[in-house]
Amino acid sequence: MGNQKSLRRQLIVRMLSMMLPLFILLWAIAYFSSQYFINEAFDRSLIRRTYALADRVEVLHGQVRVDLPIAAREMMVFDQEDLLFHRIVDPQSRVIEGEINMPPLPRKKGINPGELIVYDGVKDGEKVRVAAFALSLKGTSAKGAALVQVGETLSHRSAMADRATLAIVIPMLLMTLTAALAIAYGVGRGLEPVSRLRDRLSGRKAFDLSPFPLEGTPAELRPFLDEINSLLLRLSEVVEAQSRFVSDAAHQLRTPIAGIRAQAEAALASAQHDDAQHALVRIAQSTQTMGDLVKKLLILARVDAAENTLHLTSMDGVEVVRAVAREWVPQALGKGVEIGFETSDVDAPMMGDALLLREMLANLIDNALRYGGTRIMLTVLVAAEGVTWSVTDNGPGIPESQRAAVFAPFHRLSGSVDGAGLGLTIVQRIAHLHGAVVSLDTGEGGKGLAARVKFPPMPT
Amino acid sequence: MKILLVEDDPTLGEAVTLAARQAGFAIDWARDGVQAENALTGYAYDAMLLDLGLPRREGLEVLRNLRKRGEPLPVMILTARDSVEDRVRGLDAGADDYLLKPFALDELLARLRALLRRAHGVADTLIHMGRLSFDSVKRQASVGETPLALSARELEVLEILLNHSGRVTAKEAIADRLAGWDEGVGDNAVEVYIHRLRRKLEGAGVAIRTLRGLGYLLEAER
Repeated sequence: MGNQKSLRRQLIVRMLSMMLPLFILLWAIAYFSSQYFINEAFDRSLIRRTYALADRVEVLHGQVRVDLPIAAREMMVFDQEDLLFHRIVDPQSRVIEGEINMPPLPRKKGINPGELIVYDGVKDGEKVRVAAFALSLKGTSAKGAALVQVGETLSHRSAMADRATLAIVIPMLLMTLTAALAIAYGVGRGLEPVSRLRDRLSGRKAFDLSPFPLEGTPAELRPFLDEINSLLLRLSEVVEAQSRFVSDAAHQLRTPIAGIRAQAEAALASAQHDDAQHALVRIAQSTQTMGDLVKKLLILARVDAAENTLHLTSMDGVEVVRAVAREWVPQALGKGVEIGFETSDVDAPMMGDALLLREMLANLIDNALRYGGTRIMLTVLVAAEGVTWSVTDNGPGIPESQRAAVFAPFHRLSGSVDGAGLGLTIVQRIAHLHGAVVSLDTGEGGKGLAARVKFPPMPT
Repeated sequence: MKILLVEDDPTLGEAVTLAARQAGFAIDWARDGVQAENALTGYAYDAMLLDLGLPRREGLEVLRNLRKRGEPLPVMILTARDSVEDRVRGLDAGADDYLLKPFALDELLARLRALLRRAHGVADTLIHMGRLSFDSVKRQASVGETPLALSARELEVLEILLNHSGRVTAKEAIADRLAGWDEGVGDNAVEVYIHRLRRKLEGAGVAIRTLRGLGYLLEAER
């Protein structure tokens, strides 16, 4: 999950970091271009008003004067937002109308008659825009040119420019956010196959080394899956080679062990001396233990191999347990141990590999015969939440503190002499293959040992 | 009785040879597959003990060749291979028994004797256990020389127990057998017959053991 999120975050961060400079650039372009066009429009109205004011200039007896009605003058002073101001200067540089205080012309030598310029200036500490027109007085009784200036503060224009900028930038911003959300969602959707793949990976059994099916996976994941599959293939070859080696080694051990055992038994028949008899008995016992160890190693190797090829079929749990119990009765009676069987139902339908499960049960009975008491009870409990098999004895049991450790390979309880220390390991591996749980408990009345194997419920 | 042992491991071969001679068998020992085939063409053996992993010629091949020639010689395989497939392959090739290494010599000899007995078609009509004897032809059970007075159904139950001696006989198996005599024999009826038999077998040196949930087992008293 963490990886999936971070990939999404990465994509969004990358996209936004690319969008941000673009966004600033766009803002600048919007701002400057709208300012330019708005200035142009406002300047045009400023110029029109300048010409209108110039129209009011008259020359009478060589004197320049202005005829400005009161209403017109008021209009020349204030707009909705901006402060307006004007000035008319005669050729003798006398102010004959308007403000005395006017931002100076940008050029020292002034402007030519008939020319009009628009310029920026500062009046009373505020930025202003001013149009200046040199009204030629040629053809009148006066000489030279009168200077007509009209100015205004800039609040209306900048407000207009800001609004125009926002009108461009806000949709852009919305678009960016929408894109970010769309990407976040799209990436999430796009990564769904990855999370499905992860679910399938995490749902795998530890020893399942079969390749991933490729159908239904997106093309981008194929190379990745191909790599996983080739890794799985190599791994399963290694596992297979290893379990084949264990199996071969164990098989190879059998013949020499058989030789030693047979020799010891043959010699025992003719040995005269007590010491020699004793030694031969011990040799025969040891080879028996060795043979048992080899047998269990082979079972383990076979269980490992079965993890890849396990084939569960429907079977009757009651029948399997009862058959195994019957098989073990003579051997148990030979050791003075009685075996009994009990079931809560006439049959226990379950899915399993009957051969492996018989092996598992045999190991539990074998353990009970080695370490248990004089009675072994096998029970099958059929319940809605699954079938439970148990093997209970009336022996010394296993102290609670040691129960978890006995499942480890080659672990043996202190004081036990024979046995390979692999029985419960085999039991647990086979149980795991069937999704079953093995637990150890005390037997009836807090005495002995009860080994329970709880199977999962049958899939309906 | 002359036995052919085919085994390449000298330690094991020597011990089996020794034990077989002590048990009263005559035994020849071939060390590989080719030697074994030569021995088989030269002598008439009563049984063969055959290892599978042999030099020069595989044990299974020796066995197949033997069966191809149509020889009914009883063969017991001695092997380290114990998977179900291995077993099936061995029996398919024509083996009569299959013994896994390492084995107890006593077991080897006991199974060898059983193999020879089966091969010679000597079906024992007289079964002994403890002081009890049972003649399956005359349908008569006796303790020592004294005939036991058993009903036909009790004899039937005793016979099935004797035939299963050393193994557990399921209650249902007994009920099935008695169903030919009585209509619908229940578990209770089986228990009644077992109870009566127990009483009549007192002093015969045998006991019928009840194994809870499993059935009955007839054993010699120790």
